[in-house]
Amino acid sequence: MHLGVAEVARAKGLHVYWNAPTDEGDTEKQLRFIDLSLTRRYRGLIFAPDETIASRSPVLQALKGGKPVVIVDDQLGPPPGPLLSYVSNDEEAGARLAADRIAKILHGSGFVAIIGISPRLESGILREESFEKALSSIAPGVRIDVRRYGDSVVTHQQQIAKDILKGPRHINAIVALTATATHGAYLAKIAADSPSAIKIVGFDQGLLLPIQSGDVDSVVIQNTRKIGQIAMQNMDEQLRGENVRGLTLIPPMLLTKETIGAPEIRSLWEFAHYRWSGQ
Amino acid sequence: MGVCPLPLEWAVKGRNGMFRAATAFVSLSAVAITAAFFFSLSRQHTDKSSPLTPRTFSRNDAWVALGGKWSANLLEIQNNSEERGAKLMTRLGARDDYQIQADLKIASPYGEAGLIIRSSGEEEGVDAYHGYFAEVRSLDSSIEFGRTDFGWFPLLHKSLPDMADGQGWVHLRVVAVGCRFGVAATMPDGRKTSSTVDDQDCIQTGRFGLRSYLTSATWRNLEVTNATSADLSGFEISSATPGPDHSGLGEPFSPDRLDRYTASIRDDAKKHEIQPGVEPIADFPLRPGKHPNVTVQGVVISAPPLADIQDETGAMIVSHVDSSTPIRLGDFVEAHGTVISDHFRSRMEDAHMRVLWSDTPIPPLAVTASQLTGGTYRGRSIEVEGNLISARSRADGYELILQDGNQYFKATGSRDFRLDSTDLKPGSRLRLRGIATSLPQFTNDLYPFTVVTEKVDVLSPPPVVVADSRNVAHPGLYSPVHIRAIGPASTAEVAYSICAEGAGRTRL
Repeated sequence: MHLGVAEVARAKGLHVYWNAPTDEGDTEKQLRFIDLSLTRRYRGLIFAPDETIASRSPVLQALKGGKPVVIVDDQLGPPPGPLLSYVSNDEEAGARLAADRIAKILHGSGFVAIIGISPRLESGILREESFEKALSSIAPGVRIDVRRYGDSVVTHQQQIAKDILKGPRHINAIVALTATATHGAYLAKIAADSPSAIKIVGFDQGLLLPIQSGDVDSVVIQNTRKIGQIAMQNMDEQLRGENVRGLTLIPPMLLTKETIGAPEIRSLWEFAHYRWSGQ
Repeated sequence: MGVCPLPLEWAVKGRNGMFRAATAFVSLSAVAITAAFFFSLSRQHTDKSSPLTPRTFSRNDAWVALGGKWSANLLEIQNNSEERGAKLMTRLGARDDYQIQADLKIASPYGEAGLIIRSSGEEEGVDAYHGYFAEVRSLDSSIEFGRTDFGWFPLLHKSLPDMADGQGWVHLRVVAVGCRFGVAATMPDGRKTSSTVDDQDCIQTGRFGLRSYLTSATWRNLEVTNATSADLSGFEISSATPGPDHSGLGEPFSPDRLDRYTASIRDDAKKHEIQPGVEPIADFPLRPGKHPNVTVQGVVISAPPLADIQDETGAMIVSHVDSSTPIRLGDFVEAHGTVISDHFRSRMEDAHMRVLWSDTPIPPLAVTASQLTGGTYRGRSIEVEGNLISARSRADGYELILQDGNQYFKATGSRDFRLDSTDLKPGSRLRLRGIATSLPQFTNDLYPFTVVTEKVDVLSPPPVVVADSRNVAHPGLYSPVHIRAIGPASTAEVAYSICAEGAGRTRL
């Protein structure tokens, strides 16, 4: 997302201050960054919340001060308006990609465990509900047998996945709804004493190695570059008092061993060759 | 986050900027004690013949921590956290041409750690600084060097010698001369990978520091000296910039290395597996007696000397923790030992502990000092506020006396790079995070409880109008002077008491 934001900002002559907490999921620190941005009198705020409810007050505070805000990847609650717009990954489309994949690799029947459910984020709830809905429609012969909450600790997610692998229920596939849960499921699978045939379908960008090795079947990845570009375009227009679309949904992509080299997916990696100085 | 006493904009400018910064600080500040200390460091630093010593680096006041859980002794500096980019920056000023080198060891099979050079504008955050970073990466057994401007731009990437896994001790050296940089990594067996790289329109000056990413790491034999172009001889010449296969998070692996990396990750994943037979902590206070061979699991909410772990049902003190097992706050651990329960308290003795995973924050309960006297929250992760009465340093940390309402209480803690002692002024309102205990060895039976702190935040400075100390209503029994006369532990302390010194400033 940083790449998309920075390249549009550079083209528009805008400067960007970009930061994120070193502890993933550290909502308190993330909200301190918002306070900092208000203190420093930045002209606008693009914000991807870690938690929906906790983020409402600081965002409303920014809006009250007349500062344009673009919320990324979450439905915070306040309706869009002249100062507020939303740009999100299309969770329903992503859920359909995952459901399609599950239907294909399980040949239409079997048992699935869902891990990494994130009720702290509206987008996390939407993702889970959309997946259940899509699966029941696309593959009615596939049953969801286990549901587990997620957090930002990989090893904890590994433990949850291990319990599923070793548990009494026969599970054919794990659907991991976050990058952390996907990573945890991967670790549980490769640490198992005997090779596991369980399939893993994950969400959100992480390491490519599990895809290459085949331990993770596929991952629904966000088009973060596009999300960043649209967010910055919205910001530019909001700063100039122009009307922008209240909610823009960006379709995700399915990363598999076969699509790993596809141009649209490789374009996401170009952040590694972008010079950030003077951003 | 600590605050550097040197004004940042002064510290990063020009040649020999650090000397001038310290001088300016002296001339601008009336706080003679702190200024004098930094002045002495700067004199040492600008002397080209004398590199900075391990003794310098082991001092808490030599560094500013931006994220992470840092500790140091005369031999090593450690970060015990797996954050995305914890930094430890020198408080010394900027330099232009210099080199930094150290042995470093990475704990995780998919982490990165290394040395920052020519840095400025550091903040807490993932890539929150302007400067250069040379790192060893355990995931793909490589070294990488690049520039950070609140975003990472790799300039150089090279594999370590064959079969080197990047997880043993690696000697890393970075040289910056003009806009040319040299990076070298030497394995314990003497094999070496090195290269030079140019960065047009480079950052010309800045501080040095340490950084780790997604892993705990240890540095030793840290050395910083001036450099000239002669120091770049011996590095392999490279004009290659990193290709797309060596970038950031998304890096496809060559097939010949895929199995090796997977095996490395598998080994680490196995270490974190949980065994069956775990019992809830809350079961034991209601079962008086001795219970051998008990296994509990929970998050470490207080590290030794008062090790305390908390699960979803309660908390338990763990005595006699095997010192060979380093544990730290936020570790999720498995503890096996004998539980002793009496007086509706339980503790585990002779515990064998195993860290299952790290960085698991326990949200503290916000309580008042009065509530803590009741015992309901004893041993739990809490936050409590109070007005600072006094502060003083000890050989192993600090001790604070606070007041909240009609309760006076004590707080102790180990030295922390993030705690800036100059903020601790009497009358300040503080928020403490940690655990409260009424065990006599912590309270001396003088205070209702003592907070063993994990974190101290200054909420507000003292009121502008300073009250006459004669009107401050706290019993003489609790005065620092009085406390210092009590108990053998006090005799070893090196104290700077506000009340005793009357300096109007605390020094820890």
